[in-house]
Amino acid sequence: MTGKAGIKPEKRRYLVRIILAMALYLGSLFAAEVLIEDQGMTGWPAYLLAALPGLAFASIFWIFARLVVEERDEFFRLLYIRQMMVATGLTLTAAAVWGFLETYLPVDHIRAFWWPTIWCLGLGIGAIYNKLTLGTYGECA
Amino acid sequence: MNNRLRVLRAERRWSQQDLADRLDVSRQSVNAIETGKYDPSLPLAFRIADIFQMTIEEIFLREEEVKAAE
Repeated sequence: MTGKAGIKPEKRRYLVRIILAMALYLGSLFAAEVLIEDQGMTGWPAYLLAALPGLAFASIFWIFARLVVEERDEFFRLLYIRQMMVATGLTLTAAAVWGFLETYLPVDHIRAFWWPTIWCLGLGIGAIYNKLTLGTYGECA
Repeated sequence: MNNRLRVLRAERRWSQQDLADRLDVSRQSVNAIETGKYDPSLPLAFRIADIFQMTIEEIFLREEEVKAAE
């Protein structure tokens, strides 16, 4: 597939996309902190700017989906799909349980942007699950 | 699914990486197929069969065949 050395084109594209998404995320987060929090920006530009970090973060889902589509090795595709299923299952379960805990008990509120963060952590747990059941973490653990 | 991949590969003195390079897949894929943890798609099974110049049935064994052999 790639021989003994080198990085596969689909993996390289994945890494480049992740770097660009994180750069956009950090840049927009910094801009929101400065322009909205410190300088009091209001109106539609503030709404747009406040949504940007979330959109940058959400691009992770698209990036991982593209990796699944572009990956030529069918076994790795299976590993990635399993990672996503584990991550999605854990995240939605945690969100559902915490939502009811917040409703009925005096627990802290969790801001919504933590759910996609948990999803990303879930990818790591999915990779561990792959290692335990299929013998390999895959390439995007 | 049981298969004879490891034996066929050993007969040719190929490493898992050698076979992976010939199939254009990862070494992990070859390992997963050999150990029965992953069943290849039909197109990949045909590629494997072509490389060993055998039929799919000569490489991949039906469950009944494995039980009968035992």
